[in-house]
Amino acid sequence: MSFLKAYIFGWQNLFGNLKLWLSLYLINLGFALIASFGLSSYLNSTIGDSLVSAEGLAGFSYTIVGDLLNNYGESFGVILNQSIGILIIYFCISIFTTGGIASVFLQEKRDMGSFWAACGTYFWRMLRLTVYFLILSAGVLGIFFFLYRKFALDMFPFQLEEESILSKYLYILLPIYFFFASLIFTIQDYSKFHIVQNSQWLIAGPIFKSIAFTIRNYIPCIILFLLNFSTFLIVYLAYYFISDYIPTSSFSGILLFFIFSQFFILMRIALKLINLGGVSYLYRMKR
Amino acid sequence: MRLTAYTLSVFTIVLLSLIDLTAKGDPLSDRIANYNMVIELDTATKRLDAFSEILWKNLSTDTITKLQFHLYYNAFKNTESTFMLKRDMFADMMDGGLQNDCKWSWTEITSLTDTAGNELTNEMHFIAPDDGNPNDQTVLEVPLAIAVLPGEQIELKMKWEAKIPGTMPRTGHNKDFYFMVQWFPKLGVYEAEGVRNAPAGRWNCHQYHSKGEYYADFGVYDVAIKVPKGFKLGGSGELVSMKEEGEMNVWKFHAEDIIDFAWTASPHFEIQKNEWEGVKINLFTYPEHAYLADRYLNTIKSALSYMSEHLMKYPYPELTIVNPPIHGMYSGAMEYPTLITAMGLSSIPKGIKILETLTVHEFIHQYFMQMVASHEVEEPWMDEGFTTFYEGRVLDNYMGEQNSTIDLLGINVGNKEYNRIEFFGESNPKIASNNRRSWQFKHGGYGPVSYNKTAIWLNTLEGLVGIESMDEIMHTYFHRWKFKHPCGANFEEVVDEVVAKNHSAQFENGMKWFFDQVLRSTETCDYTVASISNELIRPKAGFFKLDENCLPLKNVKDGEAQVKSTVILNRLGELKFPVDVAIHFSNGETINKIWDGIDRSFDYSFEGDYKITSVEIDPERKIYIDKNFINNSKVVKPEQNGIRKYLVHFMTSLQSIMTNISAFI
Repeated sequence: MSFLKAYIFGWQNLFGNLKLWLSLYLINLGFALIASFGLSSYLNSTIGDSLVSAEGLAGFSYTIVGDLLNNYGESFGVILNQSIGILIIYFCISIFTTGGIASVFLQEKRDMGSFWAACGTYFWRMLRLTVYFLILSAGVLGIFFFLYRKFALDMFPFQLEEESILSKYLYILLPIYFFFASLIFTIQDYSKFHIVQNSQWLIAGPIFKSIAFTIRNYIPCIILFLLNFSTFLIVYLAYYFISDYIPTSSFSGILLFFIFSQFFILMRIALKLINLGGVSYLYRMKR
Repeated sequence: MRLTAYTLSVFTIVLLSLIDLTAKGDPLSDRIANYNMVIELDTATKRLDAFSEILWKNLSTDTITKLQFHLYYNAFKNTESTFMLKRDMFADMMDGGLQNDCKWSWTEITSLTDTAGNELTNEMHFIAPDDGNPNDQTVLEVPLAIAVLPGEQIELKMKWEAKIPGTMPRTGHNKDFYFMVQWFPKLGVYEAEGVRNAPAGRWNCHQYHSKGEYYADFGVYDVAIKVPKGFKLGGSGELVSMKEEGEMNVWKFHAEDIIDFAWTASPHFEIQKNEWEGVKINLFTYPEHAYLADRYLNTIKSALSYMSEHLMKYPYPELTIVNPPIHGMYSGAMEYPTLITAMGLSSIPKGIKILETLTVHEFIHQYFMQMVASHEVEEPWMDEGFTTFYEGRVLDNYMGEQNSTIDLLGINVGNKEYNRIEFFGESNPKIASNNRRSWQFKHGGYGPVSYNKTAIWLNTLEGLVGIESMDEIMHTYFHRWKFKHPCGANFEEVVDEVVAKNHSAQFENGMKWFFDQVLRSTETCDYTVASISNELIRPKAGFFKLDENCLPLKNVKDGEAQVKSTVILNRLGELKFPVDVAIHFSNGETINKIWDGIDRSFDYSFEGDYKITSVEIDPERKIYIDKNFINNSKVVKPEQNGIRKYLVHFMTSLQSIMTNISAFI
C-alpha cells in the first residue's frame, strides 16, 4: 500500500509547506490581477457608465456580450493577446518553480531560501524536461488523432455510414490514449526527482532512469496518479456544481463567488503539490 | 432513350388519372401548373426514368406562344454551369463529392408533345436569362406549336430521364439515401401584366443559382414512384398507396395547392407517426436518431400551434419531417411543400438547439414561400427574412427569450438576439441592401442580409407600431397573398394600410421612409446618450443696471438651489427613427419623451429640485436595428457590480487556465 502512504504523505507534506503553497498562489493571483487591469479599464470605458452593466448582473447576456464585441471588439482583442502573453510568462514561472518544489520535497528543506535557490539551479533542466515531454505528449496525441481520423473516415460526414461511428471510436481510443498519457505524465513527474537527485546537467540519464523506475514500480506509480487525478476531478466537479448556486447579482454574492473561486484555485495549486509530494515519497521509498 | 416497359405500362393509367387531375379538396389556389408523374428510380445507375403529364392553365389575358421550364439537375452537369461557377460556400464540399466516381447529373427531355400531338422537342432550346452563360442549361424554352389563348389550358406529355447527382447542396444521393428536390422539369411562372408589378406579361424563370430556389405556380401533384423493395419513401402531400410490383414497390403521392414536390427514399428510415389537431405528422429518421423524436414532435406542435394562432391553421393534411443521416447532411435544413428537413445529431448537446431551430425555421417556410409564394430568387428577404422573424417569435415563445438558441453551461442565448448579433457581427453589415436578387450578393452577405437583417427590421417595425398592429400587418398580408405571388411592394402596401388605420397621427406620411431606410439602404442605426450634466443654478451675479451695485457671485451647495439638468443625445448612425427617451431623476421620478431622432444632436433640459441620475434611449429596445444597445444609456454614478462580476469571472477563468497549463510541467 505504498501508493496510499504516498498519497497521505502528499497531503501532510502540503501542510508542512504552507509558505510554499501560499507563494505559488500569490504568484498565480498576481498574474491574474495584472491581466485583469486591462479588462477593468476596458469595461469601465465601454459599459461602465451604461445601464447595461447592471443588466449583466441578472445573468449571462448575449446581447451585451455581442454588442460589446461587435462595437468595441478591437480593444478586447488586445486584452486577450495580453492575457495570452501573461499565460506564457506564468508558464515559464511555473517551470522555474518546479525545480524548487522538487528539491524542497526531496530534501525536506522547508525554508524558502532553499526553494528559490533550487528554482534557479534547476530552471534550464526543468525547461528542457518540459519541452521534451510537451513534444512527446503532442506526438502521442497526434498519433491518436491520426488513428481516430483513420477509423472515423477522416470525420468527413459524407463518408460516414452512421454518426455513431464518431463516438464509437472515440470511446475505444480515449481509454488507450489516457493510459499512454498517464504514463507520460508519471514518467515526467519522477524525472523531476531524478534530475534533482543526480544533479546532472544532461537530463537524458534521469529520464531513462525515470522510465525504468516507472516500469519497475508501475502499479503503485499509476495508482498514485489515479488517486491524484480522482482528487482533481472531485475538486473540479465540486467547484463546478457549487459555483452555479452562488448568486452573483449583488456585491456580497460577487464577493462570495470570488472567495469561493480563490479557494478553488488554492486547491488546484494544492493538488499539484500533493501530487509531487506523493511522487517524492514513492521515489524515496522505491529507488 | 431509356423508356422502359414499366413506363409504357403506366402510361395508360396516367392518362386515365389525368381526367381528374385537379379534383379532391376545395381548391385553395388557382392550380395553374399541375403535374402527374410516373417515376422509376434505378438505384444501380442512380437514374430516373420518368413520364410527366403537365396541365398548364393560362389565366392571363395574354396569348402564350412559348413555355419555360427549370431543369435544375443540369446545374450539376459540368463545371461551367452558373451554379458551379458561383457555388461560393459550397465549393470545397461539392468538389469533394463530385471527384468521386464522376457524380455529375443532368436532365434530358426525350419527348414532349402538346394536346394535339405536336412534337415540341425540335424547337426547344436552353436560355440563360440572368447571365447569358451559354453553358448553363438550367432553363429550357419551348416554343409552342399551338398558342395557349387567354383562359385556355395546355396538356403536355413529357418523357424525360435524369441522372441523380452525388451529394449536392439540397439534393442528390449518398450511399442509399436519396433526397429528391428540384428534380423534375418544372414550369416557370408566367407573370401577367401587374403580377408582382410586371410592366408586361413575361415568363419568370431564372437559372439555378447557388442561392435561392423557390418560385413556382400552385398546382396538384400526383406522383407515382417505383423503387426497389425495402426502400421507404416520404414525399410532399399524402401517401395514397403503396403496391408491390415484382421486385419493386410503387408509392403514390397526391398533393394539392403546392408549388413543388419533393421526396426522399432510404431503406433505413424509421418512421414515427403523430398527429396535431387533425394534421398527420410523419417523422423520418435513421434508427440511431429515432430517440430524438420527442424533441422534433414537441417543437413542431408548438410551431403548428403558434402559426395557427397568429396566421392560419396549417391547411394541408400531412406534414413530413426528415432528419437525414449524417452522410446526407447537405439536405439537412431544407423546406419543400409539406416536407421539411431538420438535421438532428447525437453529438450536438441538447442545449445547443439546432434541431429545434431548423424544425421551426423550415416549417415556417410552409407559410412564407409555400403558401405566400413570393420569389425567393428575386426577393429573398420576403421568404427567408419573414421566416427568420417568425422563427424568433415561435422559438422564444416555446423555450424562452433568453435560451431558445443555446442553453448550455450557463450560457443562454435567445433566437431573436442571436439573429441580431449575427448580423451586426458580420465584417461588413453594410455589404448590400435588402432588396437585391439572390445571385447579386456577389461578395457575400446573402444570409446575414436576407435572413437576419430582415428579421431585425421587422422587429423594429413591430417596436414602432406595437405588437397588435404588427400582428395585424402580418395577418392581413398573409391572408391577402396566400396562394398568390406577392412582391415587396405588396407588403409595403399592407404596412401602409394598417399603419394609416391604426397610427395615422404618428406616421401621417405612411411608411415609405421606413422601407427606404431598412430595405433599400445599407446604412446602420446607432443612437447614443452623449452626456448628462447637473448644474446648481447660482443666483445672478454682475451688473444688470449700471445705476445699481454689482451683484456678487455666490457659490451654492446641494440642496440650497435648484438644478439645471441637461442631457445631450446623439445620432451616430445614418438611419432615423423616432425613439423613446426615459430620463430618471434622483427622486425616483421618470420623465418619458419621444425624440424624432432626426437631428445629429439633440438635448433635453430641466430645472427643478432633483438631478438626473440616468438616461435611456429606447428603453424597451423597440428600435431593434440599433447596432449598439450599450451606448443607448448613461448613468451619472456608474453601477460597478456588473463590471465586478465580469472581472471576477475573467480573473478566475484565467487563474484556472494558469493552473491547468502548469499541469504540463
